[in-house]
Amino acid sequence: MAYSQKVLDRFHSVLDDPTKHSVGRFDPEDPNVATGMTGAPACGDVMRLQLKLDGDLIEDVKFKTYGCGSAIASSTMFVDMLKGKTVEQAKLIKDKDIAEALELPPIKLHCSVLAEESICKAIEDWESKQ
Amino acid sequence: MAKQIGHDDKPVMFRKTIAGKGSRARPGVYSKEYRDNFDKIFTKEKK
Repeated sequence: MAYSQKVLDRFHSVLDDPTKHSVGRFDPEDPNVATGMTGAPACGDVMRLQLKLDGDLIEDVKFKTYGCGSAIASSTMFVDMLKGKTVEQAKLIKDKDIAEALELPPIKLHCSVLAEESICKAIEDWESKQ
Repeated sequence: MAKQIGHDDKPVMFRKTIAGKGSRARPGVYSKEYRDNFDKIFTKEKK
């Protein structure tokens, strides 16, 4: 199993400058912050995604991922896709979009699923705060 | 150095593989080391 060049480039870019790639956290108690955290039982990877919202506009995103290169690359890809979108637009982003963009092999598709589940959980959290 | 199979007109090269763990569970996923790392990343992070 080999990582695609796109996964490797993203992964190394995150290692070089985590802040630039939105690694970090917001205060979960902030009423404008929604948090989604999911784990992949298949491999033990865990992702926490936080959205900072202005109304239903996603102003900023932060994440932390304990996982492999594909999981981290999927997380950052999702973060890039989410910024500036509305919640309704975010709901339309699916794991296959990330998998295709990163050329994930079938054995790594659960990494993109993890990212999609995190955004679903974060949106659920935001809707529960309304 | 990459190994070539096939012939000069139609060479097939094995590229250097950077392999991961696939979809297998990370070794020691329920170990103390895993839990400690988890705590460092998610629980005991600096605010």
